Amino acid sequence: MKRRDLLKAGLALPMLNWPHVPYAEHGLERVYAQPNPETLPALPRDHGTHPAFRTEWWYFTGWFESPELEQPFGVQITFFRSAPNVDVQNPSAFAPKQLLFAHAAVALPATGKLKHEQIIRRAGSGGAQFKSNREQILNIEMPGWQLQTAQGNEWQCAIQTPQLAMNLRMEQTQTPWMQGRGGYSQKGPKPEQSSYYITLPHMKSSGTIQVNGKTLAVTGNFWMDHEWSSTVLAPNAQGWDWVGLHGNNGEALMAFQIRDQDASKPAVWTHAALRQANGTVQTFKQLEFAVLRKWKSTRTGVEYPVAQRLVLDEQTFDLEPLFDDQELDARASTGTLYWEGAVRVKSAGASPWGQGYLEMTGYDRPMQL
Amino acid sequence: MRLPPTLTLKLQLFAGALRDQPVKWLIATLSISVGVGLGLAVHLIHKQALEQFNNGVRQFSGQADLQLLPHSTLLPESVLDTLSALPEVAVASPVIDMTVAVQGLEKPLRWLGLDVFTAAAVTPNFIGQSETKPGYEAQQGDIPLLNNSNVFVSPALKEQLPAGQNTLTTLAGNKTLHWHLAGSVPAAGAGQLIAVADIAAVQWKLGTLGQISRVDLKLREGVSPTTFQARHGAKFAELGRLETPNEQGTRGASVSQAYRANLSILAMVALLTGGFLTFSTQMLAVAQRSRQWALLAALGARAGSLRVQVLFESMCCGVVGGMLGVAVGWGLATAVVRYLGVDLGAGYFESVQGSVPLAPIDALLFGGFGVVATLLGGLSPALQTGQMALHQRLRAGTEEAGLQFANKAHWVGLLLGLVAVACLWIPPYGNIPVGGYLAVAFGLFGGIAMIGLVVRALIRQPAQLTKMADLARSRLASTPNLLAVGLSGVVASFALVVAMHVMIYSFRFSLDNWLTQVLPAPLYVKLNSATIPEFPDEFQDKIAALPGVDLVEFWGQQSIVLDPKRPAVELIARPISIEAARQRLPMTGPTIDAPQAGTLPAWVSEPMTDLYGLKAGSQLELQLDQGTRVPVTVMGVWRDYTRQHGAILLPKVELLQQFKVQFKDTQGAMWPQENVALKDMVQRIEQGAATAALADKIDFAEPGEIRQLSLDIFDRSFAVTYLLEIAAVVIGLFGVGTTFSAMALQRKREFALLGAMGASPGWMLRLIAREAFIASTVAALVGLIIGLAFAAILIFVVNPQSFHWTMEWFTPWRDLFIMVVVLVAMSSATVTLALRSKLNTQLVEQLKEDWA
Repeated sequence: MKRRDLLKAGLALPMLNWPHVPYAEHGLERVYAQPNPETLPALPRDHGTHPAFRTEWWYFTGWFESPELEQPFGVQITFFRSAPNVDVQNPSAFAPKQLLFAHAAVALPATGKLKHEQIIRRAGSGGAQFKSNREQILNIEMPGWQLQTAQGNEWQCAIQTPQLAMNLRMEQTQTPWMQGRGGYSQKGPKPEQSSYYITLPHMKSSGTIQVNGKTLAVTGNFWMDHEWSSTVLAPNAQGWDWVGLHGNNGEALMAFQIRDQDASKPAVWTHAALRQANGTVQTFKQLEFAVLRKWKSTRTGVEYPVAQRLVLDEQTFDLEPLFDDQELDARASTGTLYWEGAVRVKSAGASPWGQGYLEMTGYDRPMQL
Repeated sequence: MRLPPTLTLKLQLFAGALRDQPVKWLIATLSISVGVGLGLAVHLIHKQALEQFNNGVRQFSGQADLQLLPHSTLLPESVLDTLSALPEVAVASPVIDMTVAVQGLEKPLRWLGLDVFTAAAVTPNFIGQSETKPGYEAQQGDIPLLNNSNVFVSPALKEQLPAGQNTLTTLAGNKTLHWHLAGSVPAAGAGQLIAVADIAAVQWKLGTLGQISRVDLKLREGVSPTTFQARHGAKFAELGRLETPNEQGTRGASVSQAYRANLSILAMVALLTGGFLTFSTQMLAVAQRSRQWALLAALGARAGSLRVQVLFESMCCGVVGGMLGVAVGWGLATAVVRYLGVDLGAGYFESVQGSVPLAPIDALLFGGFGVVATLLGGLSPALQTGQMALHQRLRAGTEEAGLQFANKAHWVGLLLGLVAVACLWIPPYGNIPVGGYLAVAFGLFGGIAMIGLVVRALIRQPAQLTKMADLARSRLASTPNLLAVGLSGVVASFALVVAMHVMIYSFRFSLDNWLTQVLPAPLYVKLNSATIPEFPDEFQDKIAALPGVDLVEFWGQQSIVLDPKRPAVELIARPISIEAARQRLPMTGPTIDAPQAGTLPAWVSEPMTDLYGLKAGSQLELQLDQGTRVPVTVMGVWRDYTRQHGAILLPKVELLQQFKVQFKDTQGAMWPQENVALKDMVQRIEQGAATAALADKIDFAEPGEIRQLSLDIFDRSFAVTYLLEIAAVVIGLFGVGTTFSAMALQRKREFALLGAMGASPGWMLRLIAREAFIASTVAALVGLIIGLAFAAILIFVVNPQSFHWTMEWFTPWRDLFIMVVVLVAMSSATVTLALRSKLNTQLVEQLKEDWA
């Protein structure tokens, strides 16, 4: 029975023939695969989908410029795949064994808030589907939304919605960065509190973005995170703060902390790594997110520390948002309310050091994936 | 408050007229209010029903710009992918909409299967809201809306369930399934009984894998539904049709149209009766008040203002009657909606609830009908008012003289009669037989204008006065016009009552004949439970193989929309050969012998000829679900009184063999061998049913029972009509009674003189009774003749045009005879009773009064 469930959950996909550790938790209707440090991702195959895992995302954040705009602006695009805890034996084409969702947000300083669109569909019906095969490592489609890459070095994203449209091409410029131990990234004290995590920093991107009926030719640099897991968060986790920052000299800095529900306690888990343009990676023993300034959303009443100081051992990085109101209300698709915004980075050694994105979740209520 | 002096004068004059004839004015007013009330009630109830239907459509289609609906029952789910891929489509939301039997609920429940993600954009009010119970910790990642065994129920349904119940048990096919009550659908409309679950769960558990009921479409900004329909309609024509929610509303309205039209005729009957009562009241009053008019004229009033006075008085009657009628109509509609559930006996307006709002425009309109009726009634009297010569008016006893003009009225009557006949050629507007109604209206006026002629022809001045009858005849013959006017109200109501009765009688008789013809088998079976969708094939075979069975047939039906503007047509598939059809179907026209090569033979019901222009020999392609096309040849047309919107009968075996189409068989007919008692047969079938899990799921009926049931339903749906017929006759009778009373008051001197000559009050009463008898016989005869003519219009024009079925004429001689006798007896009695107390006046007093 268990084996059949596994097959149904998609483990039998020929491309993804992994020796996974199945993971059956009490009360779950299906069995999920778990990341494991013995089995590390391989590229380009693992740019593709992993339906046996509960949650997976391809997360693009970056700073962009357009000849038609005076100031730079932020762009964020995410495609999610989620395998909800449902009875996988339902043979219906509408059975929500795999959900796909996506959102896109543009942070135009002139507007002062995010322009946001989102979609959620069940895969396998109504034009929503995902595919991964040898010819095309990744293709995720929903009506009006598409993300695809043939072999992982060139990516295309097309979004066509009434309010927001994008047509972007992203190109890999640095070697993929396998986070943690070769792509196995610990997210908590327990082994299952982990994910597989691959980053493509400094992706050279160009194309068009249509906002408010105006089409802009744009160029910029995307930070791409591809992460998949089944039980990321510890039960006592409240949410996380995460940064993906591009240094002006080709550096890439990734740091996150998973906060405890008891704010007085230290973070449940922290991790930070800085990669130089030449590929050398430095990890840190001490990591602290220090609040510099808070901003309270008038829409939701939630307060976010929009300006933070990142202290990594001896180094400090000051994050100042492009503008304060980069709160993203995705309660209609992912069910979360968070702040995801473009930030400028100053460091003690270099000012400016670079720019990137800061993500803060779980400021309204404990975060659930 | 001070009234302007002219109005005060008008009211004073009217008050005088009221004092003279209070009952008569009251009856006229009441009659107007009945007409207005009935008309308004029918209108309001229908409006309410339609409103609710449209609300339902609106609610169930949410913000959908368009919906793709199957021709018959279901769409293949693959159509969703095609629709989602179209650039004009913003959101395509699949829906399963079915009725499911639920344990503990009397009626099957409307059960929706939704994809919450797409429904969020189209029908957000049907998305469930989970209610986490205290002490229940949600599993991480558990999404209640997607859970396979969760169901969400509307507040109205929740109220029907016992408190604390947290499961719904569905009975689908032979499966019993338990659904967890995970929350509610708070935004479902008031009174809406629905359950909502995830579309995948519904497909899997309730057996519609691969299929959906419809797709709700939200189009991109700037794309109009019409453009989209034009561009893509053909692409999906195989599977279904693209419709706007409005188009479905139109279809809902047309369902009850014919029935409403019929009720509206009744309202018209009451209004016309009221109008004629006004007419007769005013006409007599004009004559009686000629001295009053003369005095006013002598005082300087002009003929014009006298005419206005007559119209003003009529209008007062209309205004009061209209207001009363609006109140009555509103009250009636509210009561019907509250206590009868808007059925009116016919089942067209089901499940309407709530209060009935009264729009001011409706009140004005229907109240206005009352005023118009009385104004029309007062028109002719008003015109006559100014025309009498002054010297004539100043003389006493000029009632008849005042009506001299009526000697020529029959020419007008003849003209109106001709107009009425001409109207019969006016084609119907939609389902509304405009020509028929106009013919009835003109005919009624024409017929009444001819009463004078009839009176003069039938009642001749006797050569000598020897008997009391001679005196009575003499008296009536000397005032033919007065009599004609007095009788107009009762003639009108009696004619319309006769017409309705003959029509209903003919209809009932035709229905009875038809039932005998369409129920040839000695035994019928029907599934009585929503839990069993059909008679399984094995069961059918088993019954056919039972000992003692000569022949057994099972059939099923399915609806199909042939024209988006019209209600669905029923397709019936039953085993039938061309030969058998000719014998067993109640054919109404020519038949053909063989279908076109490559087509199935089909027999269509009468409405199909009017609505879709089909006749024997017509070719037609039926577009079924899943793109199946069935070409058919119409072999003949049969009469069908049950499916008003049309039916097509197809041969079951050939349909399955050649087109792989099988309907769900829910009914059957059985011919046991001659030596087998029906009771034994029933027992054998029940035994067979028990082994096929159909125990107690089958209803048995003999043709007699079905016939009786059908006729009972028929009688119930016409119960309102019978009641109103009685009301109309009673009003008409009052009219006669008061007319005669009024006339008698004018004849006080005559009676006094007769008394002085030695006539006893009893003798005079007999004289009056004799007069009343003669007069009401004339009224009944004229009413009967006009009524029979109207019956012919109703049967041969109005009914075929509004219901699209024909019936044969049957004259209910016995009933008509009874009606005439009752009318004559009642009106004689009314008159006699009304006058009894007024006969013992003294001559001297009368003479004094006259010359005072």
